[in-house]
Amino acid sequence: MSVLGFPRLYLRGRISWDPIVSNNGPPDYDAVNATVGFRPGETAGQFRQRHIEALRGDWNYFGTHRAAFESVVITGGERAAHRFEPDDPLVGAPVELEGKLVDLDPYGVHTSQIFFDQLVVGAGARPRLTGKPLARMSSRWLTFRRNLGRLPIAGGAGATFQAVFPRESLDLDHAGRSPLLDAFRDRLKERRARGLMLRMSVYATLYFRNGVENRLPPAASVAELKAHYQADRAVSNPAYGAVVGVIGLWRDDEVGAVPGGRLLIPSEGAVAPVAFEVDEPGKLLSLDLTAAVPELNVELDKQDFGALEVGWRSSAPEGQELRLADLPAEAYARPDYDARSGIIDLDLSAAQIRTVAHEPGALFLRSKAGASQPFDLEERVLTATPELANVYLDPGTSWRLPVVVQERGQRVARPLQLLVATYDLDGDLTGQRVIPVEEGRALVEGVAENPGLFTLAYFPFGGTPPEPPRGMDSGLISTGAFTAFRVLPADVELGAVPDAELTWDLVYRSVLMGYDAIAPRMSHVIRLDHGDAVATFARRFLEVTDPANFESGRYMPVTRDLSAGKRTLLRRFCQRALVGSPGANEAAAVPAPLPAAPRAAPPPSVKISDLAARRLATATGEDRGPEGG
Amino acid sequence: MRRQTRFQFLTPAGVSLATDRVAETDAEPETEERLVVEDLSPHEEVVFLLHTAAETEHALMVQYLYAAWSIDPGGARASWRPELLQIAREEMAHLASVQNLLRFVGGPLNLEREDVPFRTAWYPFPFELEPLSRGSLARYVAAEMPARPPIDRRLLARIRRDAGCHGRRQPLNRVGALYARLLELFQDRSNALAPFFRPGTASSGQARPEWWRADVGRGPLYLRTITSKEEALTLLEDVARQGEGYLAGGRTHFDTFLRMYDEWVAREVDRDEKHHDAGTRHAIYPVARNPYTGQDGEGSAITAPEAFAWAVCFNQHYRLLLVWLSHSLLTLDDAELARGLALRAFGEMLAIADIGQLLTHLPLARDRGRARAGAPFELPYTLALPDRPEDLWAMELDLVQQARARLAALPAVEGSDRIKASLGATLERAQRFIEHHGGRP
Repeated sequence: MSVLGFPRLYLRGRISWDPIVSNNGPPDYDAVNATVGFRPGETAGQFRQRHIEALRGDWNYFGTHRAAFESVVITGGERAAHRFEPDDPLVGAPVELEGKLVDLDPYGVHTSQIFFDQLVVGAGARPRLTGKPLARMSSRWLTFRRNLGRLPIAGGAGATFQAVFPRESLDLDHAGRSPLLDAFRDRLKERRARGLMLRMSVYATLYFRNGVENRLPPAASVAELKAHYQADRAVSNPAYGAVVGVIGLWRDDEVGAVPGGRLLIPSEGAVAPVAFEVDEPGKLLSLDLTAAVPELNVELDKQDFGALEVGWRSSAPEGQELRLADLPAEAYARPDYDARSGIIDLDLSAAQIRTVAHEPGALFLRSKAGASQPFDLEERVLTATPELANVYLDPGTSWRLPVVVQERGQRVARPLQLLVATYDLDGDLTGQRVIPVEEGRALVEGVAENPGLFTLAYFPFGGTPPEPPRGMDSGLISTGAFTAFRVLPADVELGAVPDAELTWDLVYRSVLMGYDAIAPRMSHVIRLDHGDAVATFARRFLEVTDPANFESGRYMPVTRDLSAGKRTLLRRFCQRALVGSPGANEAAAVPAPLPAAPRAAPPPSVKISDLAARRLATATGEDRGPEGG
Repeated sequence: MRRQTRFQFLTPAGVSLATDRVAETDAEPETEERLVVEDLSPHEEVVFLLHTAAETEHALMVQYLYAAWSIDPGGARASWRPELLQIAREEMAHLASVQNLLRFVGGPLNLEREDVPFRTAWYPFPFELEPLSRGSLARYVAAEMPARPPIDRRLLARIRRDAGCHGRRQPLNRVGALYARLLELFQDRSNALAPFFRPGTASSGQARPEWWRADVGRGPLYLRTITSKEEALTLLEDVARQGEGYLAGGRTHFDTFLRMYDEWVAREVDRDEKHHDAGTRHAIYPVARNPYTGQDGEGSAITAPEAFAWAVCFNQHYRLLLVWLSHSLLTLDDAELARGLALRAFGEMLAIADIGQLLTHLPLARDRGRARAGAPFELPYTLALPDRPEDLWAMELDLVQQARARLAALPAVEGSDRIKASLGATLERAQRFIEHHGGRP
């Protein structure tokens, strides 16, 4: 089922990205200890000045982290195969999604997340669909070859995000006036329907778009941005890219966090996996080419691989091939891609569909023999799909993470195992273990010991264990199954400061000064270097730093690197300021001169293995649990 | 007696677009209205319309706040509460934007507001503090409506009927028409306005977005400093579009109110969903219409001692908010001070939010059954400030000390301990701030 079943809604438009990149590496930011690289005695203001002077590749020092649909609309939909509905009242309706883009690993490229609170399709008194996501979206199928037009910075990149919306979170208004929405309403009543799923592909990101795609002060280069900063203009500089997507049903056997099910894995030409589904009663094979075919230029013309062949390679007898269908180039080129978000439905014969559904073998999709541009994908027969894509932990937290293991999209009875490989912050393979798979599910467990970042990658097997890649290479990032973890520092001692020592100076120096320096836009919302401002907005601080709001787009700090100890210290200060406790209110009423940095610059990034001796004794009382509350 | 400026919303054929006339028919108006102001120079007209816009934005903000606080956060309409509060915040940003435009054209600032029972023809609809209802939602939709709303004609006619101004023979105007005329004037094709432009006020005198927690260019809190005619036009466009935009992506006020109105009506008429009818009734607190604390007034007198004391406290903090706001906007040569004064205004915004919500739980009068009080939003006898700085600081200190003195005597009601503590902290910070910057008189 998923987005490849029916009904479907297709969407297309622009998406804006406004993250900071000042924390993308040492020495300015230490991702392990979640600290900013101040020089000895340096203030946040001096750090900002130094950073602005240097600037280098920082294209968005005053970023807000906002990620939002811009002019995204429903382009069409289908209630059944080959029944594209261009005239449904939902067609042309705006699609709203606004959240925050945050990398779990600020140094890396493969852990982007969008925290958001709501998806809205439609407006006003028209047919309208609203849903609250189960959790954040995480990027998968990341490639840097999506656009071949040599676009600057990460313009060539493409990624796929997926979110699910539980049935109880959905509101469908005026469904009776929209056959498409009405079809969703009917299907959502089915026992196996858990809600809706959104899968979207983002690509062709363009930078320095102020004044072109928004009304922010124009800046065509880093030099022009720098001029703004030097004139005390805190200009954010969001990037803008293309987005296409599809909304479908979310079924009870589907993982929500990342795309799962049956997958074709690229080896040539294609730049991302192709999910596919077999509808045996409907004799339909549906292929999701949303992310697989690269674009050639900024106009988003698709690369022409000629006609493609869909076939079946049998494993009994070994290697025998069965041709199933041909796809003309028009099927994956624009404008079909724009209209149907790259999803292609193929009618097969009853015998063919039985083969794909039940026979041992693998589906393939490839260019015709002799094609000038080869294009080749083949099914990965055994797949692993983790139920969480990215995980934040506090030290001392025990965690358990289910991983769904399937063979050709089905849970299997035969004995299978899962190799779990560990990669460190630098992407190097540091360990591996094998765990059993029972009834199509493996349970990966652990205890968060030391602060740091690591990634677990999953490789299911039935006989000899596979050899995992030596590093988190581009193949693993673009086609692999993995979960990234960030264990935050505990900072227990800060959380346990006695009331008498809980001063504004301590709170600023220990908690807020780093954000004031590395993410200065935060200070434009509430001035972080100003005790009076922090005390005045104490309730707001308490609300946005509440661990219960961790999944919300409103959570602060947006970078989600606040340790439990620091959070406790900040919240205690705010609670005291709220009721005018001696100390908090007096210190905050009139700002004192800003304190200097407490210590010398921290060492550059520390690997997890180096931290083994630094295990912290206890966690604070505000542990978030295995998935950040 | 003050000379009255005359203007009307007319069709080109000269027919008034007052709601009472339009509501008599289901037909859409065939032509767009235009706003006609008589006997003023272009500069005077701009200042006059900006004053009207400021008073309108202030009034809308207050009414939306009152409506938001009337929604039970545990009831069936709970999700509307933050949406309405967000719209009220956006109106606050519009109000600040209008002050910047006034600065830019060299006009006097204006934080006044339409009040009960006073009414002038140019406000969108008669000012009324009232709980959220089908009728109030219809009025909000109509006020924020675009010139040619792309909605079903029957729905449009029903909105106009429900807006209900015809019974009082009062006109109902679109806020968008005001901004449309301002946009026309700021085009300044005859260069009549240009000599009045004051780009220098962008760095001294205009509200800076970062002081008011606003955005520079993308919303939802539109506030920018203005140095040119072009910047004035884009700001006006953004403000107007946020009110009346539709089907363009992004939540606009018209879109939000239309959806709420539509849902409200749908639940009322759907006989298969009787439980929703009950839910709707209990989703809104039975707060008073136009509550007041004075000796006489037009509305609902707050007479229960607990509510009365808290309502007076509310008015004190509302006054403080307006004073801090004015003081900040009038501080030209000390950016740090202006920013600090803005912070004081934020402190009072949070204070009135606390008290305003508390009042929706307090009985209006001993003998009025279930009726509850509400935030009176009574304007002080004057918004004028002393022109000598030392007098201004002295007045502020007096207001703060008055409010602090009253705190102890405020009656204890459920939930009031936390609010009193928070008010105490806010006032203490304010007093220290005054002592730091203004000294003791």
